[in-house]
Amino acid sequence: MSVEGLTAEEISIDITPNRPDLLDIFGFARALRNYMHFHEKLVYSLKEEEPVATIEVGENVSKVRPFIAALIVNGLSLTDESLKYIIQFTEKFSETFGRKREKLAMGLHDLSKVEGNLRYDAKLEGRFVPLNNKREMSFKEIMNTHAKGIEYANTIKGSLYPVLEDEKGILSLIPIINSDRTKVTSNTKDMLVDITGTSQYIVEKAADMFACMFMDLGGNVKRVRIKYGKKSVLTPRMESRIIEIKPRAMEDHIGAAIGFNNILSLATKMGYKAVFVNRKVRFFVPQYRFDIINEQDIIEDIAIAYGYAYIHPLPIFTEVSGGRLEEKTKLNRKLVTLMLGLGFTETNNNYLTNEKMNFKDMLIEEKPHVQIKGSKTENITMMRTWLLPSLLNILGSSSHESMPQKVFELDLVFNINKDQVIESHHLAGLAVSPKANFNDIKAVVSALMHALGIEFKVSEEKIGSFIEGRCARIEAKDIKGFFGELHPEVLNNFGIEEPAIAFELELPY
Amino acid sequence: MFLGELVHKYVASVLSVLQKEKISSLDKLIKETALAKDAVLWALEELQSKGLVTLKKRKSISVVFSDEGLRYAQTLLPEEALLKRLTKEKVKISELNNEERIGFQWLKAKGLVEIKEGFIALKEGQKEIEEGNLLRALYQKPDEADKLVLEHKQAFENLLKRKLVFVKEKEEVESIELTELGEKEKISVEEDIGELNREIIANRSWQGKRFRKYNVNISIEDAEIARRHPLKSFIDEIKDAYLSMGFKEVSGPIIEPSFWVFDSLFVPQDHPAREMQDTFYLINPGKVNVKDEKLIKKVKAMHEKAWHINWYKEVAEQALLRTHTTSVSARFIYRLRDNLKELASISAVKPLQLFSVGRVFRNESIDYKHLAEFYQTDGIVIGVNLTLANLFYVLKRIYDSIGVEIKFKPSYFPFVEPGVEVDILYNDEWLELGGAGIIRKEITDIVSKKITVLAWGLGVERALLAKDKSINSITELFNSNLGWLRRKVIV
Repeated sequence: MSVEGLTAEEISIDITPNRPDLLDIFGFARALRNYMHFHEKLVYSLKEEEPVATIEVGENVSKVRPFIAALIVNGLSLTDESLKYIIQFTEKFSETFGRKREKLAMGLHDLSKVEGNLRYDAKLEGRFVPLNNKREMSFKEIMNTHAKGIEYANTIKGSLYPVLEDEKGILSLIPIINSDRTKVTSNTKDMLVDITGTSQYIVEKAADMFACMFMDLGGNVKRVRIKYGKKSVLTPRMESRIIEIKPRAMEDHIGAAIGFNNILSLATKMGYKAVFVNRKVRFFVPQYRFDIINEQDIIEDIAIAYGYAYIHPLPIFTEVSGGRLEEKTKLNRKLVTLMLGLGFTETNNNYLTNEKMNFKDMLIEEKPHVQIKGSKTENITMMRTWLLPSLLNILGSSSHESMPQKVFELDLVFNINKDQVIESHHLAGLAVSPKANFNDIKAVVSALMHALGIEFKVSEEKIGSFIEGRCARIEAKDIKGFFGELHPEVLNNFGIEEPAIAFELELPY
Repeated sequence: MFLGELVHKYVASVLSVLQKEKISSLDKLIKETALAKDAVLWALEELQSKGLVTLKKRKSISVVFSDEGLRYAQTLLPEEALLKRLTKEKVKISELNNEERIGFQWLKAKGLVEIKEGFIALKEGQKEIEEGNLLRALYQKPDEADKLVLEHKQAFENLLKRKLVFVKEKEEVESIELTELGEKEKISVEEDIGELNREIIANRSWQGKRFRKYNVNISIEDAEIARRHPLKSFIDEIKDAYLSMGFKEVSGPIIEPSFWVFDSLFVPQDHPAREMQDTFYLINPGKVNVKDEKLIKKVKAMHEKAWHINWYKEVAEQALLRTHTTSVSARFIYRLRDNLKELASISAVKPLQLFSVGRVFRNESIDYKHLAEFYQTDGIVIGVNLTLANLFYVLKRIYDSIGVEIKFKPSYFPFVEPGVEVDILYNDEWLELGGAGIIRKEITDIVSKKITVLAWGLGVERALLAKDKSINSITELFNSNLGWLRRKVIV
């Protein structure tokens, strides 16, 4: 997390998506406390190891939403405010981290209303009274008419509905809506929390995180046995992963002499219990952390606690080595210099365009091109196949500027040849003036070719954008292209009011 | 003789026409003398200075719009736009965008609004902005500029102060009258030299003659300079900064399979950035094959191990427009697997330093602040035992060389650890320029366990804006307006 803004009344903080634990105010408070060495809380452990309930997982659900974790919280004393917060946070967590409940979703139940053994399975149909409703509804009815059913239709694929049930009936149509029967209120003292999803690791990790949160809230968290056939797991697992790193390795990665004692203190600031064992620092990864994949993640935490601002930039000692531009960049720079010398001003235009501008307004037939899916902007549907339309577009809106007007662009275009995308550089120039004629543009193209020392052939060409008989093709060893006098209908399409001449060359890279 | 002076042929020709025919209109005189307008005007001024003609002149003004003024004339002034919004909805002062903030200052100066509990409240009374009406009237009826300016003096003063318009004064000859002296003057043409030519020089016929003087104070139109585009020339500056530190340029495709943009960089397949709301996917081609089966296997394993979700090749082969140039860096990091000689050459004293600059795409709805395409620059240093402090050093040096100030703070990107946000100082405010960090071991271990890779991907346009205060917004850089390109001051 980092501070985004600071005023007398308000500090805004940016929380990065790898730290969902900080989205919870209890988690956030815990991080602040640890950082300030104020009532540090580094270790979370359960009072009892043994589970107090069992959820049997059925065969059918393995095909649609295979995993569940659960925990029981005893001795809660909730207020309307704290209950509202818990509900809001679990919803937000299922929405963001749970990818709109598809990857993970949570349910809260009043344990005193739950009767007998629990079972998690998938069913073709069933009936229950949904949360805050008075009347029984079938699963299909909920999916078709209930707001939540419609909103989360994306999570149900196929005809099987995941459900959590007890001996009395349905507790929850997962991940759509809970039953009204087990609704949590501020009078709820004991709670059953279920977390379901597509990854066993993730639902169980989430159970750990919520166990820590409920402990911070003053609850007594207890385990639930989850039975997958003959195998079973106890959740929340509350295992603390251990990662050992040499202090020197940390300093070498960060590039600062932090000192061994300081590392232990920085570790505490970031919420790790850390001890020095066999010349290594042993870090106990807090159970609420999802994001610690390897030691690099811990080193980052140490660097953050140390402060990026205190890491002194250090040069890399290297052999003297020369930098190098790509060959195409070198050639492009030469071409730009020549175009400027010819009096053309450089432009910068969008690669994104549409069929009207690229083909229709230019009076040419459509050919295969790169097509874009679902653009938010209406007139973006494809990648340009040539540069001239962009240049015409500029001068179409510059009619009040003095003549002659000469512009060019040297940049990428995108074509499709035998189902292969070809990204290549083109160079195009456009001149608009009352006296523009074919010979002027031929003079420009020949001057360019001669300057580059390239031999070329010119022949008659027919392209819809140009006046017939005033258009030519140019061919050389590595470069080909065309030039000519633009058709007045094209000029009308782009709002250009004076004669215009243009060329476009396909470069060999 | 004409008061003892040489008479230029233009002067002679104008005077003789005036003596032969009673002409008072300039247009007619131009026609009769068959001279250019400038030549006739110059001759008339000469004649007047000698007391041979009397010229009656009429002064008028024409109004020229600045680019900003032109934009407002075609739409609304910021204060008018804000006023319109305020009549429709309640607006918090903190919600205003930059342009609306300008509008708010003007409305406040006019006493039309006040702030009540953080909201902007409209006061009773007038809802018309005289400056806006005037600006549009000047734009629509340029011929009535004189009258309009006279009728709305104060509003016009304000437009001038805001640099939305400029005044060009014109003087036109209304009528010409020969004086008594002029009627009588007998002229004999003696040629002085106007335009020098080859013959005069070769024959030395200039000897003993005078050269016609130019009035050095006459205002003339600027010559047009063919310019470079500011963004493209800034990109060259960036490339030169990298070169000066020994970096080599590389590049890669814009149309990529998701694999190179996301999967190879450890971005999980259910990451929100991959959704269609943020990324341009393609209809044609719908997919791009990734042929390196060995690498696919390793990437699949790294994803499934770390992210605990299934990884699908079909998802990795979806075609898209790259959302960052880090795809180029990814290609060159993994390429070392096939280039063992180059990999072996990397040592503690000889890192491999590569950079690229290119366009990237985001599926944005386009407005004056948001673009769907822009430039990014990526750099990597592949070496042995490199540190976060080394990364800070390299970035500081490059941006010192470009001439903008940067700072670092913690952040998160799936493919680097530690993760760094690079901020840039822009108008006394720190703005995000991009991300940096040390590439995760999950990625580099696939190539070699001995290497460390420093990496960054930073915006280009924001750095240019920080450096060149004459550019107001990123959109200006992609709407290549010819007038803007011709008149932009070079920084």
